[in-house]
Order: sequence, then C-alpha cells, then structure tokens
Amino acid sequence: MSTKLDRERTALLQGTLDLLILRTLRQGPAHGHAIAKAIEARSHDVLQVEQGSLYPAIHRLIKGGWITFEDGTSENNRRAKFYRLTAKGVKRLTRDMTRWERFAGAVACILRPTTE
Amino acid sequence: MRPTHPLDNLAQDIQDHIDRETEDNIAKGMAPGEARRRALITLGNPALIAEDTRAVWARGWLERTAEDVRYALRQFKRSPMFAATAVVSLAVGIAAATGVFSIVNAALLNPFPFADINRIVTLGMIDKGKPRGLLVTALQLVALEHSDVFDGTFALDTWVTTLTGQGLPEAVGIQYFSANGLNVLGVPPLLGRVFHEADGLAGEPPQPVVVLTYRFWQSHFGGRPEALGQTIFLNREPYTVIGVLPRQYFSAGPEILVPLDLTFDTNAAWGVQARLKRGVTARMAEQRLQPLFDQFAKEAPQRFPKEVRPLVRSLVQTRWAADFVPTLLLIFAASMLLLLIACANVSILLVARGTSRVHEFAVRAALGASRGRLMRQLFVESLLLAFSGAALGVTAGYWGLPAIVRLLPRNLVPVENLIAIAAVPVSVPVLLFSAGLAMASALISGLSPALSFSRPRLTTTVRTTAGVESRRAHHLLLAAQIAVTVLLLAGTGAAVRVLAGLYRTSLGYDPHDVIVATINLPDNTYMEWAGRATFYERLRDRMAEVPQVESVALATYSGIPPQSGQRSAVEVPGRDTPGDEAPIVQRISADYFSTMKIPLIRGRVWSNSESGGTPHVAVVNQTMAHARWPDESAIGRRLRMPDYVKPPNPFRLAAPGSDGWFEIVGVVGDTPNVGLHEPPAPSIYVPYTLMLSDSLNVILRTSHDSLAMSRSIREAVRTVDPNQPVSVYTAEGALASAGWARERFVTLLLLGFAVFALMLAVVGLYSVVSYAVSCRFKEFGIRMALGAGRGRIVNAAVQPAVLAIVAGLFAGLALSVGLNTVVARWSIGNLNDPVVLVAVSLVLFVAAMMSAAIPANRAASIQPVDALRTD
Repeated sequence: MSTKLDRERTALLQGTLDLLILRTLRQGPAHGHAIAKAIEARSHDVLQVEQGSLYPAIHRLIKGGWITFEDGTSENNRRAKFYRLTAKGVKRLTRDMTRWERFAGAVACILRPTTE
Repeated sequence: MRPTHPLDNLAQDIQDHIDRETEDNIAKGMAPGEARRRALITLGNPALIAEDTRAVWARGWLERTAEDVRYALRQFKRSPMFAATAVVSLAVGIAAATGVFSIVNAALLNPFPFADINRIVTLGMIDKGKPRGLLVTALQLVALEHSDVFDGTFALDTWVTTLTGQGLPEAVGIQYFSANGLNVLGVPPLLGRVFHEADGLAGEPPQPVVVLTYRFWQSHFGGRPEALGQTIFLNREPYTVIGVLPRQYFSAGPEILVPLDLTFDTNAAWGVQARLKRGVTARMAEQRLQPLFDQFAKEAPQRFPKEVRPLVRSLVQTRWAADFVPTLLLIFAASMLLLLIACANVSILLVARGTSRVHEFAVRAALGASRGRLMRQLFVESLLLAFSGAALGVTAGYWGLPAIVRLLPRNLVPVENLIAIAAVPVSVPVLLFSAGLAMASALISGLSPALSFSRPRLTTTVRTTAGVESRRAHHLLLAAQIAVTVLLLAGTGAAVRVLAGLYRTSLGYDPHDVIVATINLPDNTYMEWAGRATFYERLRDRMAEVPQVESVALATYSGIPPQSGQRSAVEVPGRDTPGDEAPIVQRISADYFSTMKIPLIRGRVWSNSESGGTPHVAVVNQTMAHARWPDESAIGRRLRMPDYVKPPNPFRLAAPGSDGWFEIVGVVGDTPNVGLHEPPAPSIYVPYTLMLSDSLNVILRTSHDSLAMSRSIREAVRTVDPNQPVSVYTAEGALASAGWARERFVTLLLLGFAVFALMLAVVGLYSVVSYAVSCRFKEFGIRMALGAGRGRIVNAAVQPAVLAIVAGLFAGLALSVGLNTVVARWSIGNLNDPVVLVAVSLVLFVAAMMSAAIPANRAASIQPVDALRTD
C-alpha cells in the first residue's frame, strides 16, 4: 500500500525540482553548484535544495533533451560543466509553469477563500 | 579533452561542487575543516550521488533487454527439457516453412539468376487470339534489334550433338546463342570470357568457340582452369573452350554453349528473347512492335499469319509451370499450418511452465515489477526460444533442402535455380523470411502466456492448487493444436489416397524390368534410308544377344507410356469430323507389344519380315477404334498419313515408295499416352521402318535388376558403332519422374509434415496432462488419502485433456470438410473422404491416449503421504 503513495510523492518532488532547475537556467547557463545556490537564494532560503538529488535530476533533464551542457570556465577560472536550456526545455518550462500556477492558484483559493 | 557524454568527469563535477560549497562556507566565516564537513553534509555521500546519477542513464532499452535475456537464459538453464522441447518444436516448424519458402522463392519469385530478370522477355505472336511460338530469320532479328523497345535481342536454339575425343562418344545438350546472347542476359564468366559480337556476326559463319557450363567443366575437366584454350569435338568438329560460366547459370539442361550461325538463309529461323529497355512494359513493347510484325507478315507469309499480333512475355512467366504453382502454394500453406501447430505447442509449454512459475511472477509483481515489465520478460523469453528455433531450423534446412529439391518434379519447375538452391539453400530473402517467422511465432506463442501471467493476483497465486484458469487456457490451446493437426493429417491422407490410386491405375503394360536405351544419331550420319535401317536392325540384333535380355523392341518416340508418340495428321476417309484432335502416332517394331506386354485385343500385329520389312499396315488402340468405328470392326479399314510420303523435316527418312496409305490389321489395349491423369487419346502404331528418325529407343525386357545391365548395353552399342552415344534409363524411373513426380513430391512432403505435427501433438498433450497432474499433486494425494481409487484419479487427471482432444478432433474434422472446396481447387485429393477422416481420427486418438497414459499413470501412483508433505 505504501509503495504507491511513496512513488507519487517522489514524483511530485522530482517534478518540482525539474521545474526549478529549468526556471533557473532560463536566466542563462550555469554550473551545478550555481543552480543549487540560485534556487536557495531566489526562494529566500525557504527551499533547501536536496543537493544529492540535484545531479540525477540534471542528468534526467539532459537525457530527456530539455537541457544540454558544455564546458566552460567559471568566474574564478575553474573548469566546469555549464548547463543550458534547449528549445524543447523552454517549451516544457512554459507548459509546466502554467500548470504549476494553475495548481498553486487553486490551492491558494482553497486555503484563503475570498469572503462572500 | 572535451567531455562528450554528460557522465564524463562526473566525479570531478561533484568534487567541484563540494569545493565551491566549502569556499562559500569559508566566506560565511566557518573554519576550513568545519566548512568542508558542512558541505559534505549538505550534498550527501558523493559515491552514492554518482551512482544515482549513473543510474539515470544506465537503464537504457538495450541494457534492460540484455538483462531480460540473461534472466531468460537462466530460466532456460533451470529447466533445459522445457527449453529444448520448445526450441525443437519451433525449429521443425521454421525449417519446414523456410525450406518450402526457398523453393517457392526459387521457383516462383526469383526463378532465374539473370540480372534484372523482369526485363527479359520471350517473343511470340498471337494468331487469331491464340498465342504461338515465333521463329525469326537473321534479317528479322536485326530488324527487331533496331526497334526502340529493346536493349538487346538474341536468337537461341537447343540441340543434342555428339561429343567425341574424350573417351566414349557422348550425347551432349547444346545451347546456341547469337553471340550477344549472354551479354544481353547479363551472364558473367567464371573463367575466361563469354561470347562477344565478333564470335558470330550475322551473315558470317561463327567462330568455333564454346563456353562451358560449370557442370560440364566439373564433369569433363575436373574443374581445372587449364580447360581454357582446350579443344573439344562436337559432331567431330574442333571447338576451342573460351570460358566457363558460374555454377548457377544453366545448371540444368544444356551443357555447352555455342555461338549461333546467324545465316541470312531465309529457311533458317530461331526463337527470340530480348531485354526490354528500362521503363518499357511488355504491353508497350507489343504496341510498338506491331508495325514491324505487319511488315514481317508481308515479307514472310509462310511463317507469319495475317493479322498477326506480337506477344511479349516475361521469361519468368513463360517458364512458370502453371499447374505446379497451386501445388507449391498448397505445400506452403501446409508448412504454415505445421508452424502454427509448433507455435501452439510452444504456447502450451509456456503456459505449463508459467503455471509453475506463478510464485516467481507474484513475487516480482510484489517487488514492484509493472505488468508491462513482466510481459516484456515473457516476450523476451519466447523471442529467445523462437530465434534459437529459427537458427536451428535454418541449419536443418541447410542440410535438408537439397534432399527435398531432389524430390522435386524436374519437368514442372524451372530447374536452373533449384540446383542453385541445393547449392546455396540459405539466401538473404530466405534468412529474412525465417527471421520474420521467428518474430511471428514468438508473438503467437508468447501471447497467451504473457496475457495470463502478467496479471498475477497474490491472493490466488498463494494457494498451491492454483492454475485453474491457466489449465483452461491450456486445454483451449490443446484443442486448437489438435484441430490444425487434424486438418494437416486429413490433407496428407487425401494426398496419400491420390498417390495410391495412381499406383493402382491400370497402366495397360508392365513397366517392371524394362530398360530403354536411347540412341541419338550424330548429325549427318546414316543419311540414307537403307543404311539407317540396317544400322538400327544391327543394333537390335546385337542387343538381343546381351545376356538376360528377354526381348527387344524398337520405338521412335520414348516408348514408355504415359509418353508415347507424337500427334500427327491422319485422314480416315468418311470418319473424320472437323473437331477431331490429331491422333498420337508411334512408330515401332512388331515386337513392341509383346515386349511391353500390351495385350492384342483383335486382329494381328505385322511381322518384322513382312513385305520386305515395310508393310503399310497399322495397329490402333481401343480408344481409336471406338472413336472412329463405334459400331463396326476397325480391322481392314484404311487411313492415310501424308507425312509418310514427304517427311516434314530432313532428320526423318521415309521408306522409298510410300503412298501414305495404311491398312489397319489389329487393335491393342489402351495405355496412358497423354499423362497419367488423362484418359488415353486415340493412337496409331505403324512400322518404324516406314519413316526412320535420327533418334531411336531400344526397349529391352530383362530377366532381372535392369539398371545393372546398362554397362553391357553400352558395350553392345559400341560394337556396332564406336562413335554412337547412348543413354540408358529404366521404364519405372521414367514413369515416376514423368507421371507421378508431382504427387510423389506433395505426398512425401505432406507425410513428413504430418509426422512432425503428430509428434508435436503428442508432446503438447503429454505436457498438458503432466502439468495438470503436477498442479493437482496435492489434491490427488488428498483424494487418495480419502479413499479414491486409482481409476478415479486417472480419470480426473485425463478427463479434461480428453475433452479437449475430442473437441479439437471435431473442430478439425469440421475444418477439413469446410475447407475442402477451397483446397479442391488446388488439386491433390479430397479432404472430405470419409475413409481418410476416420483413419486420421483413429491415428490421432490412439497417439493421444498413448501420450496421456504416462502422466496419468504417474498420477495414479501418487503416495498420499508424499503429496501431503509437499508445501
């Protein structure tokens, strides 16, 4: 019984992390650490990225063709893989964002019903 | 180095991440050691992360399949008997289907090895709506060559001539080609070269050169390359060997290729073949050739009828033996049925095995394997079985096909390619076909088990008396298998009946211990009637002296029914009606009937010495007598054969002083003379001396084993004329290859299929009953413990299977009767024959009972204590 629920929860979290990574990369290419930092910073440190799941998520996105990577040099002259959104990734981001906003809006409506 | 895969430098990436986090932490004011520790805590275990990340990529389609294959192989290793049975079942089915397919492919789909075969056509003509052969002169050939529809045209001719200079003289088949012929056909040389235009220019005598077929090169030069440049003597003229053809070309029929003498003499004319220009269809060619044919008709009215229309047919079409096509399709259908039976069998085995693996599936499902995952696993297993079966089947076909090809009726299939398949039985199309079959069989046989086991319910599978549902699937499959087996057996039975009927057909003569020696005179020998007559007589006398020869007769045409004589024009005053087909005329010596043991019904046969050896008398068969003189005796009637005054060609020499009139002196019994399947046609026998042909058949009745005498017969011929070639065969052999070949071929193949089908049915049934017993082991134990007798248990074990067999049997019988009308159109037997159907049912039932007896007996000898002790 519990397996099914677990799986759904994981899926939800995974999906969310994917969305956050895609959203971060819309600002421009970034390396793994920068992505984690950006998510934390933009959520005002509310969302603590489970850094361990960051890399599998990135690779899942590469495998799906939503992001790609190239070699680059970071600010302090260190080599790093820079991840970048693909056209397919942009499309998915737009779609997922609409979906997320609709979902978040609906939840918000329930949690804070407008007084009649 | 640039990373090309995201996983390259993964460890480095993670290490960088930690370093950066550490630097951040130091920037926040932590001590370096603490900063590093916190960074590691935030990220987690690097090794684990690397592994998780790799896992994203690792589970690709291929890896998963490889995993499934490994798992399946482990499963097979655990139950090798099951795997072997399944693989062998499928191998048998696939071998049969693939073998028959290669014959179909060679005979129908791709009968000639020539390049771009569909553009090669034979030219003919249509005269008053009927297709006729076409012969053209050298000038007409040149005109055709210059028409705009062909890439090339060539004339061809076949002949039998005498090869000398290599031991005993020998008759060899010659194929004449106008010098460009081999180039138009696209035949490359294996050694040396093929003819080019200069070897035989129109209007000039051709160069004395020959190209050898592979066969002749092997048999006469031992396959040695030194054959090139050697001289051979054809009809005592020297010819230089300039080339050898690859094995697949002209691998039957003519043995030596010679350039045709394209003389401008308008009496010489030959058949024509051509290669159509690309994009020109046969119909278009016919339209565009019409003006040319009109011109031919004007120039040569003796050869071209008025309002002639050209006929262009592809070589493949003209050489299809039309009545063999349905036979091949029938065999093909039968092989497909056999494969279907094999699939059902494997299906049964898979279901049975699935039943014993229910626990495994339940556990895997509980561990999170999805339904699709389980189905894929099962499908991979059946694919693996099917492809192993296909590999084994193709290998078996590789060894077995030449044997099947040897059975094929030679005169019904274009033989060129059959030899080629015997040489290379596994070609690319055949391999593709068998791979397709393997896929299909995997799907068919894997479907039912995949559906029933990919949906395990923990609750039902935990109970050990499981499998009620799968046993039902089992019995359905068994019934289906039995039904198809019945159909195949019925078809086989029908074919056997037809063949048996043919063997019983009254031949009207006795073919046992009869040998025929065929004499083909070398060209331009014995060109005077008297000389030829003496030679033939001396041959006969000499052969009569050979030990163990009981009697000797001469016949002009192959004297062995069902091929006997040639239709020729006969006038019977007052008895001819316009619709009459010309009777079959055979020229024989007087002792023909006694040698063949054909009974004389009325009158007499002439004697060899009568009227100086050339009496103008005739003997007719009963059919002829009844057809022309239904109410009176034919004896004493006269008939006229104009050919005997002036022979139609120079190879025949008429006896001097013939007026063409004959008196009928006797009536003999009928023998089949237009094939074994047709009633005898009217026929007339006249003394062979009245018109001597350049070929002769000496018919010898011997006292025992005839073929062993072939050597002494050759010796006898040599003592009369050392330059005279002779070929020897037995009457029974000729009979088998001419009349029964098709039936024998179909029946033997079907019998083979039927035996395998029966074996498969037995295996299927055996596994159904034994799995039922093993599933219900505990139940039977309990029932025995409670006092059930052995008979009861046997009954319980066997009854469902027996029901399935009976159901399958009836379904199969219904199928046979229902399909009879379809199959009847394809010839060979009657599926509706009650004798066949009853016999088939009996055979199947007995086989079924025997195969069920062993597991049933095991069920009856269960020890209740053992049964209760198992979990």
